[in-house]
Amino acid sequence: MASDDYGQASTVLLRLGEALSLLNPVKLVSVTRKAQRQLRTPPPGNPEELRALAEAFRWAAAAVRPVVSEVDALRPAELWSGIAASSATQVRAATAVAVRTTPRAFLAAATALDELADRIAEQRRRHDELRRALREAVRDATHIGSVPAPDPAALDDLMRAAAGLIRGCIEVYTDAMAAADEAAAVFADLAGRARAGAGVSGGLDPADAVVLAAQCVRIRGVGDDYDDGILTVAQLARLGRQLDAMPVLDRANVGTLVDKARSDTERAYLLKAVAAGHPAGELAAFATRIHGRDDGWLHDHLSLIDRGGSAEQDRFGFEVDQYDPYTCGTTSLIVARAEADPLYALGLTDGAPHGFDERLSAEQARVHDTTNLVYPEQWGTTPEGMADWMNQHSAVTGTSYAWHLVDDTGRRSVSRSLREVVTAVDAGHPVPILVGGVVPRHYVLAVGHSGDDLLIFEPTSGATVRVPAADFLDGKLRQRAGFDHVQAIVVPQAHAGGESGSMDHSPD
Amino acid sequence: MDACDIADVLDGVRGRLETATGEGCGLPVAAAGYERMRQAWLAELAAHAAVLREACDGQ
Repeated sequence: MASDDYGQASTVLLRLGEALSLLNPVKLVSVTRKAQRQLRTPPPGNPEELRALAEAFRWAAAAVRPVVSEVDALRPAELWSGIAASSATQVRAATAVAVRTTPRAFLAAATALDELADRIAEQRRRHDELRRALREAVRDATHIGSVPAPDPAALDDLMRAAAGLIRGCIEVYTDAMAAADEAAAVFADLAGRARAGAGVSGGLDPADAVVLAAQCVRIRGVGDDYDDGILTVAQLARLGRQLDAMPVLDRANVGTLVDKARSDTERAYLLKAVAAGHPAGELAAFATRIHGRDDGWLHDHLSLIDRGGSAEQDRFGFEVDQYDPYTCGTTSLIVARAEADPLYALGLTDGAPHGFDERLSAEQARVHDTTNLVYPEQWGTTPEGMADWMNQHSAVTGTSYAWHLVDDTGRRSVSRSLREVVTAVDAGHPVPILVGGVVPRHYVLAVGHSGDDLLIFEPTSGATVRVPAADFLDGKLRQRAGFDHVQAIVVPQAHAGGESGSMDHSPD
Repeated sequence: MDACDIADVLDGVRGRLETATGEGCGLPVAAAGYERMRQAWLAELAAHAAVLREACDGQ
């Protein structure tokens, strides 16, 4: 398949749109012929190839399924004899869970590939029909019987037919790219579920990676519908590299701290701090502060939200929300950083529980001052200010951010933006989203993705909220995000596909 | 099955899946995501097999 299929389809769409706008009785035949030339490029994709790939994943699911129960039946202490029995039990349990998820992931991949194949086959069928109909319409208008001569009586018919057929072709190519975006979203979701593999790819020992991959944030009342791993998949991949980059003595000291941890949860948060790039001295103080704490204390103090599902997000009875009408962006930034850095979260949660709200408000005021050196704070924060602040903390998040406008009156722009958002979130990077009505008004933070849903943190209510992807695409976000339309996104640069722009208005 | 047998099965699935799914899948925008997903799950299978291989070597 050609590597520039996507560019070709985009070009065809553009040219067909131009042809439609130029269509008039004078230029009718020449414009229609140009449209015909564009239609020589069929909607890209090969249904047979996709179905063969789907079959391979379906076979792999069937091949792995019988060994799931066999892993459950292994006796850990005798097998992983080099490590403590309790750890060996954890390794067996985590491996069993990981192996159990594999057939489901492979079947989901097979389904996505089959659905994409069906969509492409239908697009190609419609394309062939439309192309044939256009060719016949041109022939009727340029021939009287079999004699090549303009047929004035047929020109009106051609005018109507050409406009309808070109519009039909635009729909086919638009659908082709939307289908690709939808498939890409499913693939991103599945890639994000391969957590242990990400850790091993980054250099972690396989047993460590499997156990760490299974550690999740657990706040009472919040489910596990979305990936809420203590370490995101990006952090699992980064952890091994961070350890490798440490001086030998520091690495040995970190090893000692990890060995002394009293639980897998404590160990996971300590290693999350390593992934966030903290030096050995800060890690030692952090390890001392969290040593021996129970899981509830660790989750409450080392994260600001639980990304597992829709819920009110509070700490010590106080909502994690914006403290005035202008700090939705600020609050989204603070949550994004806290999700990457447990030391930063601890800086806000440590101390008297009744003082949490005051500490969060003080941090919101400080961050808002930082992002708005010139821009008036009562106008909120610009997307550029949001991206700049995220980039000031790229050593912690492991990525740099850029922003771009989203034209949600154009299906292509919003579909492409949704793909960027879910790809980033599935890789473990939260995404600030600017929403509004006529003008930009409000920020929310995308923190999860599963199936056809996004999970956003909504800073006005201090809650995580499920958002159907269709609402994102259709500009119907009011009920969940306060305003209907997506107007800009701030995404990791590796996932950005749009153009940077400027803003005349800013959100709260 | 012992840990060695299970590791062998997973390694075998990984090898065959890698061979059978090596081509791209249509639009580059989907093909890039597809390839990331494919590589992620090949690595995941390798991780599972490696953990079991550690146990296998300990037997």
